[in-house]
Amino acid sequence: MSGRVRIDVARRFLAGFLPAVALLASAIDRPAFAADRFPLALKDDRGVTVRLAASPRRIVSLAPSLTEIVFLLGRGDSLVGVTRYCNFPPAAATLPNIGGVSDPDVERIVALSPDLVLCTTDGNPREKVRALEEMGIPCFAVAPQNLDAVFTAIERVGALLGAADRGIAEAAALRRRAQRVRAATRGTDAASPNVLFVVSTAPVIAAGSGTFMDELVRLAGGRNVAARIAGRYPRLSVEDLVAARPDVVFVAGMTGVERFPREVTRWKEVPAFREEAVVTLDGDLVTRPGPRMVTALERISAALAAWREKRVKAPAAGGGGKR
Amino acid sequence: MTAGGKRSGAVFPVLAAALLGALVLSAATGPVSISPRAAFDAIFRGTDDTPGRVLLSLRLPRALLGALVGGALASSGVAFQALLRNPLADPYILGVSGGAAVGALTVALFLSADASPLLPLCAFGGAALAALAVFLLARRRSGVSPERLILMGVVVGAFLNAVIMLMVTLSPPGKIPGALYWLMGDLGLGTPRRVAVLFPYVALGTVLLYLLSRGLDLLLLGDHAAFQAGLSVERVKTATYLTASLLAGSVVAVSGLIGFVGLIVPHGARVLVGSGHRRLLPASFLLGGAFLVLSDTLARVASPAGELPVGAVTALAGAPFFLHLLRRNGGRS
Amino acid sequence: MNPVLSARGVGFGYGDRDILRGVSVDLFPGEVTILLGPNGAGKSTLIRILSGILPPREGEVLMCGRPPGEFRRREMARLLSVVGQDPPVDFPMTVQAYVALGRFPHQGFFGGTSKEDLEQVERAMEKTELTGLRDRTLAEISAGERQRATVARAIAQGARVMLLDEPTAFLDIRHRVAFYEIVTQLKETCGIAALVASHDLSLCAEYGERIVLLSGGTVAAQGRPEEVLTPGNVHAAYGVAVACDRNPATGAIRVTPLRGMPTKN
Repeated sequence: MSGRVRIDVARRFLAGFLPAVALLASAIDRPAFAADRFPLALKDDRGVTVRLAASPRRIVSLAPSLTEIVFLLGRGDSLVGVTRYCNFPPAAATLPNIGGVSDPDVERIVALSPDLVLCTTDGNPREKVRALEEMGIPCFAVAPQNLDAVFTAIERVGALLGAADRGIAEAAALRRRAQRVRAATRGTDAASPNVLFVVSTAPVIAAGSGTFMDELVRLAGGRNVAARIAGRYPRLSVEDLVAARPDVVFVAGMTGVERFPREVTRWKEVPAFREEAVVTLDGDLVTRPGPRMVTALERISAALAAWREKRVKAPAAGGGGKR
Repeated sequence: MTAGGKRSGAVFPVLAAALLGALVLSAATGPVSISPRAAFDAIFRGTDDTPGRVLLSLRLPRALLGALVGGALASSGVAFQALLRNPLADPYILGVSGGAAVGALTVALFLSADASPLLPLCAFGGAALAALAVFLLARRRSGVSPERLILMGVVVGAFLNAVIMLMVTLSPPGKIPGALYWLMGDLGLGTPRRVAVLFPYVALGTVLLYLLSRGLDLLLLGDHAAFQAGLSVERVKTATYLTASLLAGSVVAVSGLIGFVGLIVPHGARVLVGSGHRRLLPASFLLGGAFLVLSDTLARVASPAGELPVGAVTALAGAPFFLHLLRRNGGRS
Repeated sequence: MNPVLSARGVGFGYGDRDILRGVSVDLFPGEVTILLGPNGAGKSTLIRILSGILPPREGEVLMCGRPPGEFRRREMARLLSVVGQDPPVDFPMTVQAYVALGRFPHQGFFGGTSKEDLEQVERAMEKTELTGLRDRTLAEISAGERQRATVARAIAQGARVMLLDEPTAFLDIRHRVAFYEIVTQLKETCGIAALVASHDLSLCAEYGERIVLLSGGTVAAQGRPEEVLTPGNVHAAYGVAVACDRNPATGAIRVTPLRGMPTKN
């Protein structure tokens, strides 16, 4: 070969080689599910490998959190069936309903001819999912146990739906917001407030360790007083509240039990009642392992920041902040 | 004339002491530590610090509530067992539990949280209506026979249970835990107000039953024999039915369906003082009160996951105790 | 002497089924009347009507000449006691407590237990040989002992009239004799009027002053033992052939069944 041809070849080689290397490099760098390639095979949270021949166009969601994730990925138009509790975003509420989380209607799902069912092992009955799989409908289970796992889930569902880039981008955005909250609390020197997170006010049922609410409180710089008590959702008496003395109480407002009865709030030994630091949050934000959990985290962090500010302004009045 | 004749003198002081001991134990148990000194100060010197307030406004009312509820359930159980001549009768057998549950769950599941003060009233109303329905359905020209009462009680109870299941299915999910605790029986928040509201009903009911003691003794003989022995049988039966239902209904309104107390405490008391109702009723009251207060104390501390509903404890403790009782009396009944 | 309890032309039935027709019976103080009759003749129904539990469809019942409705319950119970049903065994009631219940008409709901009450209960238990069993529960003792306890309770009740519905069914000969002796004693010392529904043809002839033979719901014969206990009457009522004579040792009528299958009634 002449010298010139050799350079041409070299140039052409490099022109093809470098992008290939870059691609390969990025492929090594990115997680395996970043490829937007169909057919694909992906392992779900049960360890089951789900194979899809093409990007799914008829998706059924068996949990409100999964519905929110699908809409976040911009693929809400591919949803053909959701649970009766799927109310966010508003468009989701107009979709055909296939039952509840613990009682989805298998027949109704099958009638919609889905090519993918998104389900969760935290709530969907195993036998029904198995029934759907036996009918040839691919089911992908997502069950994140902490905030980080929620972000990863968004990326994986993104890949599954053929929206891998969108998945990565959204997850990254959420991670950044969470980071900001963490950074905000690290900087301050104020004491960590005692926090109680309840899902019911009558009876008082608190979120203990192992729950999302517990994690959110810790990330926001608070100390979950219910974490000491065994069980994920311990029931507390008024005396337990008086003994624990939370500075701030969050109520995950599920219908009907958002307010503490007067006989409970009159115990002014509890700083949260004395300073009226009882914050109601939309229950959906903290019970759905989905994107809006970060919103909840931000609100919790804001409430705790407000508490710290108040303390700085009137340090003598507080007195109940520490143990 | 002693009906039981056995260890007659010592029983009542011992039972009273047991109840007192249970009350003290309950008042001394809880997450907030109260030193004896603090307790003394709170009671006798009226100091208004946290341990004192917890003792006087939370623990003591709750303990007293337990005593009233347990005593009322036991007395009501005694009365129903005599009325129905059936040792397996309990205060809920004739529609009271189903009616109270429908009333209470209507408020708990379907009305807003602001309506919650209505709950005891609706529970009581439901209990009263159901008891009345059973009574009227069972009535015939010849009077009200125990067999027919039980039959109507079972029918009405089954119907109301179905209504309850329907209500729970249709209710918003956030409200179900609270409803569940009520169905299992739960003393809940102890406040002086609740004690004050319950006390007149329990006092009235237990005194009325005590006055009917001899009548209850005679009812055990059978309607005809009681009639021939000089009892106005229908009047006594009606009075007993109404009073026992009043007691059960008022208790259920406050603390839900606490089971087993009304069934086994009467039997325990019979072992101690015999069948004569003049002694059986007071003994059952004391024993029932002590039993429930102890069960509640256990319910509060037994589980690391927070308070258990006391109805769960009474059933768990009650069944083995009942078995033990039956064994001890080995075939006497 | 005036009858202390009488039935005048009493009739009773359910629907168009007649159980009693035109029954008239008088009970006099100090007299033991035996009510005889085959099963289903209406003895228990008559006793229920006499004691006021069932109202007669026809005729009337008079207590000391007045209808039962005029008496208050407890007053009635001081006049009339009934021995019939088996006492309760589901609850641990002692014999003493059970017998003591007989004093209710004298105590009422609120009256205390007087010395008189205690004495009456003691006497009743002595007469029925139950003092040794006083602290045993009714479920522990035998059926015969329970029956004696029922009699004891009626004795403790101290009424002027006693109606006894087949009280000797489970008793052995010793206790049957003892029972009739007690009733005789009571009639002699307290002047009670007793009506004993019985199957014991011979013993009743020994102890009864008057016999009422009930058959098919009507009074087939009424009067002194020798008038009523005839082979003809017994055969007509029971379908059994008997020989009746006087017992040489006691002088009372003796009824002896003859062998051969009973005829249809």
